Amino acid sequence: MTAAASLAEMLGGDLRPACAGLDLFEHELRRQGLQPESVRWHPPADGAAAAVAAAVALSEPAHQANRAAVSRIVSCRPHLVRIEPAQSAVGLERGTFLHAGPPIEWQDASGPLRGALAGAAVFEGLADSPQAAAASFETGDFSIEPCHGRGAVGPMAGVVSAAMPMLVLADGTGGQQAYCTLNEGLGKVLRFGAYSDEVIERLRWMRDVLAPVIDAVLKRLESIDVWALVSEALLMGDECHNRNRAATSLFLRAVGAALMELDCPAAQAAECFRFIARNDHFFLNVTMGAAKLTADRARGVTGSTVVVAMARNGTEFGIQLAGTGDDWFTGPSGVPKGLLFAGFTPQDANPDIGDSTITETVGLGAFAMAAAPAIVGFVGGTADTALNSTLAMYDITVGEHPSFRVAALDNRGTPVGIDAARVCRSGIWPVVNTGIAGKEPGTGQIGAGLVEPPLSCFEAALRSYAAKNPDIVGAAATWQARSS
Amino acid sequence: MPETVGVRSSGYTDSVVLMQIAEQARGVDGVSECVVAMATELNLALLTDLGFSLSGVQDAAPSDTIVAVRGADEDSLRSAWALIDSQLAGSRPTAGRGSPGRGGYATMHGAVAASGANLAVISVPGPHAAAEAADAIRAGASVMIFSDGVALAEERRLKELADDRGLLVMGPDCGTAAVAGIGLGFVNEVSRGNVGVVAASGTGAQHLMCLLDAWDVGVSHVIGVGGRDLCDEIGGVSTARALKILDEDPATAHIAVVAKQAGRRSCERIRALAAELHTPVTLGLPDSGAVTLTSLAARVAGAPGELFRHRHERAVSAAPLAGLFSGGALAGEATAILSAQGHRIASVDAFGPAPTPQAVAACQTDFIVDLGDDRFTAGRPHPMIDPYIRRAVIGELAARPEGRHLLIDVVLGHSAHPDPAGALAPSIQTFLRGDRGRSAVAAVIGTSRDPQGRDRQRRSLIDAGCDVFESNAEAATEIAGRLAAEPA
Repeated sequence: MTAAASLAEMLGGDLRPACAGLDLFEHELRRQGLQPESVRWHPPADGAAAAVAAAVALSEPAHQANRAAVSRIVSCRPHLVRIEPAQSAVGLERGTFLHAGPPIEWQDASGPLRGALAGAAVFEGLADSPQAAAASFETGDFSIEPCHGRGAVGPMAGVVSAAMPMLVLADGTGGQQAYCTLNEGLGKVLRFGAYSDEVIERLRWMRDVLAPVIDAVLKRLESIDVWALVSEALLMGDECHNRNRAATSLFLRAVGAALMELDCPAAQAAECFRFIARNDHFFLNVTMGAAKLTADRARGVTGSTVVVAMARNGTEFGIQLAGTGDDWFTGPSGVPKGLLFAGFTPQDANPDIGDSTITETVGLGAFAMAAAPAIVGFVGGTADTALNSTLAMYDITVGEHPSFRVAALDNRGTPVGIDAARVCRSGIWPVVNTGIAGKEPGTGQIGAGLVEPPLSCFEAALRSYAAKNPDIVGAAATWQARSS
Repeated sequence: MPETVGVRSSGYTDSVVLMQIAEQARGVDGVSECVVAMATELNLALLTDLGFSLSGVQDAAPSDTIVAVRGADEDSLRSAWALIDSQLAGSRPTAGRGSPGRGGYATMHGAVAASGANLAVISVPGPHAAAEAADAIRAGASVMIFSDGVALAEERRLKELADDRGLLVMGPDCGTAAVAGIGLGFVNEVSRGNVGVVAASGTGAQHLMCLLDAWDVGVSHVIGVGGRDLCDEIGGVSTARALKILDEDPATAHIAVVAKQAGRRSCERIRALAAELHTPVTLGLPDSGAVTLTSLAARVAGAPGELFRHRHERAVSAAPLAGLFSGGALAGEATAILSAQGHRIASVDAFGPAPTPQAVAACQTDFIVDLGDDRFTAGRPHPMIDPYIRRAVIGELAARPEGRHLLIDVVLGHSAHPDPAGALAPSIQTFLRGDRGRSAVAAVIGTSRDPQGRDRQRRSLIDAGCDVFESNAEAATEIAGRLAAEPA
């Protein structure tokens, strides 16, 4: 229906009101037998950021920029095309390591990140022991930088070293590619900061056996349409961040025949199949790489307040906006609330860590929680909690994803394109599902749950946006943003 | 029978969703068959079975969506394709409503997008109102903004935004509207009829609808456009939109426009537009000559009967005027009428930024204040809801020795105080006590069906010694004769 028709319809007697503010309007409408939609409006916490956000809401160029950013996001069709060592995929030289989240120095890094970095140095053969590796990071002999800066993402610590195999994601229509490491499984794994011999041994097997086998399978298949698989997984109870069982199963279904046809020992193919089958989260890394490719499509859309990255390094939570270049806006990373594995207490939990929030950034994860009532147990919720988690996000997003549909919401598309301006206006933060890492290096995963991003990073992002976009924000709001 | 078959690369969509889309397309006039499906071998075979040609879809990958439509003519095919494309690109395949999370909607954007609301009623604090309104407009709803304190530039932006989309902005500072018999905010209980009212925002519209009701003329809609709509910075965007939609509205046979402030260019624009419409328009613009709400209502009503008036027999001596209004439009009208007769009437501006009841009462010249002005309402409900401020000023006036004539409005209707006359009557009685040549005149704005009981309201005031008029203009004219003559 066109907008003009909605006005004629209203005068024709079909008035469908929504009310925000004083009770009296709603009260009067109810008295007259109508059922107005009710907006529970709250004044924003940060007045200066809210002034910028209000200016963004009124600006047609900002609106168009946000539409454009979301249109780029929803039109991206990522395919898993091959597996390639990080050295050639992202140009990573030995001695340089990538990590999750915004930039950080070794001395500010938390336990799991330090553990993973040390383990990766041992894996590379650059250090004899994790202790020796730590010393080299301490002295600056090894350097670290964020995955996001190289078109990559990594779950939890997100540590990548030169010899690690990476999933390569590409859109058939060309353009840039995105990368993610292969998922190691649960328990004691590098991404949670574990670095024991079994961890390093597994990484070597993944490099020498798993990666070549899967790469060969991908060559036979040409590629795997990731969003097609994810869309099906959403209808099978995954939200594709904390629950990946359906997606991983669908992946095995997609590769099974090709795996059997490979010119490699059957035992080796079976070993690979078994490794993936035992790891519900195997497909998470594929989804993350695809989400990175997707979110990066919106990167650099001038004037847009849409979030293109949310990521945590275990110390800070950081975001990037489409319209603020490569700057990170950070706040303290919160400790996730959720269920812990037996033997752990909340005191054992590390502040939130990982690039996996790239899934929420493109409308998956907690944004698709309505599709995954099976996992709300992690946060002590009910099926309603799952629905509400998704529904609340429509308030702060620009669009709805045409492929990610939720059966429980009558096939409504998941909320996509987080608008930092709407976050600041409403005080509603993006919901984030996450795994919980133990804070001592080497502990590994100790649970899973939900985490609240700090609103301060959204406010900081809007201030920077205001400075970069004086024509959109206007002199008054820009000044207010600077002076606060 | 014409048919088209094509490919859409819209990403994977579940087959149930695609079947729902196809089902909707089959409902388009003239469409006899429609398939929307992923381009799997099975589905391609289905197309062949249904007699569709596959020539256009040979290169389709299994992850593409194929669309095949057969219909009576090209028009029906085009309509079906437009529907399918919008559903594939858009979010929901069904017209089903979304629902809020347990916490409710947090923004107008969320509420309108999910519910398909067509009117957003916004009364959040002024600095935040425009952003919510912009969101609602972009999501496809017209808006009514009760909030004041919306900057002029924001108002202009919002009205352009809405006008580009064929939507309407009522307000800002719009407290009164009625759409197809549903009252919004401060409205009186009137009968439905065929007069469409376009007014600034509040008590002006209320008075007009009440006067029409008194003369047995009902209203189709009351559209409040905001007090600044006809200033040249805005250019009457909402007034023009309101005129156009009322002209097209089958329930409206006569349009009345009233504005107390308007720029010359905007007046010309509205005049020109009114002349083009099929529906007769009665204009009460500032450049229309000495128009009061009463005379405008009389023109619309044709040959109207008498209005209610009750005067007390009492000796009055000439004294300054104390006009204490709850309605801005009514205060403005009274000021205009008295000014036109040569009286110099001070406004709220005479009392500085934070006037106290004592300061107002101490004023020794003729004055009329709108107690709904921001300067009086900070931290307190509007005087139409809360009689405190007016009672306080009348109490101060009563305590002072000098002569005074009191002019007030009492506005009835939904959302207003349940007994405004009863709340003021004791202080008016005290004010009139003793033989001091004082008098009090009230305009009671309401209809017989208003929840406060109009006759009871009039009776409370009359019993307190107050003269009561149905017409605000008549009340002002009545008191003019009791004021001290102005120095020549």
